Amino acid sequence: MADLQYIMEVISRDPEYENISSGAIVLIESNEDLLKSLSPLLLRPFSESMKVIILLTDKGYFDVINGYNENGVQTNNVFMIDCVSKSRNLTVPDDGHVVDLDNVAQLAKVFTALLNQTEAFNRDSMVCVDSLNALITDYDTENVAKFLHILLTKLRNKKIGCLLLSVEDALVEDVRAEIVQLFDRVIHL
Amino acid sequence: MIDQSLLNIINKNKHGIVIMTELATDRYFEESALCLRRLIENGMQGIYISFQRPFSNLIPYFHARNVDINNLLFIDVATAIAGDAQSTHERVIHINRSIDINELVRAIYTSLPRLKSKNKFVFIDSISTITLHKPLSETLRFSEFLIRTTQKSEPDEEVFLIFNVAKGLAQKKFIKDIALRVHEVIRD
Repeated sequence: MADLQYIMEVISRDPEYENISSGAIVLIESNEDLLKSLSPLLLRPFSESMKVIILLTDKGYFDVINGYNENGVQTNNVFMIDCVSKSRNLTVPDDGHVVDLDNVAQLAKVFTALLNQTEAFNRDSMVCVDSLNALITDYDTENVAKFLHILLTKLRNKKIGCLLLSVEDALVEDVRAEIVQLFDRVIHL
Repeated sequence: MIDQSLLNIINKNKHGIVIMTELATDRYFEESALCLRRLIENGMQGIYISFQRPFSNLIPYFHARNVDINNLLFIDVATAIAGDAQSTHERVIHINRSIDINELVRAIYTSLPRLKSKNKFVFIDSISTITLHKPLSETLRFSEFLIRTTQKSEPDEEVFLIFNVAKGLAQKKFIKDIALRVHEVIRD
């Protein structure tokens, strides 16, 4: 845990990470285990002051909610778009904080759900994609790049920041290059 | 540094040429802004074709990095693609949402006379990003049109055409095809 806190201290000092609250688009790449442990900690500071819209692509509501509660994420400020639970026949709570989609492959639905939430919360919000890899696995890479390009342009026009998490070395070089060039900052852990 | 290499090549050529710069994937926008600043500091003015980012996002970033936007005109393709409202800022050239390649080239060509410096540039922020939304054949046609258009500059002007591409995409076939048509390739 001490290591995690040290890593968070380092990340917190990165100006672009801090600027997510004012519209920066940041990618964090690391190994799968570290990302899993770190994701609630990465979201905590934002959840204290703004709405956080989380796109869950490879784990569902029930996989993350305990981690969020244990790590001080203000879940009353969190809205989850869960692309996993339905495919596992799990029913998410009907409390206005989570919407479940059939699966991540319905990219158009994911896009609409994300935009609807940013419309609802407007500038006092940020988006988190956890994680990029499942999108690439479940969908044609060019369509994912196109999806991200339009999504990030719309977020930028609204000055809404975005944090994307990705497992390092999991993407083919040219796919990664097409996507990564769109970010304001790439942080390797 | 890639910005210095770009400037050296431009200063070596009295006549406008076509250049491809391969930018570091993880520092793409940072390097691109550095190149742009260097060109402007060299007394040049240019048209910035923004496929990647909307104009609204470029402005604060350029201000923070001392890129003088008064020496630039912008074509905000990203915003047009996203279907958002384009800025009415005086330095933004409006284009249709359909992103017709002929219209795009015409917009560039007709805007060049608005730039008063002798040495001008057309700066394509990312040639690969357009392929996400347009067929490869259209992207190649766009680059070909642009190469021909900028090489036919007026007698009292020199136009440098700069295509930017992420290093990680340099091995893609269509990028290699474009690289064969340019005069210089600069690598980070």
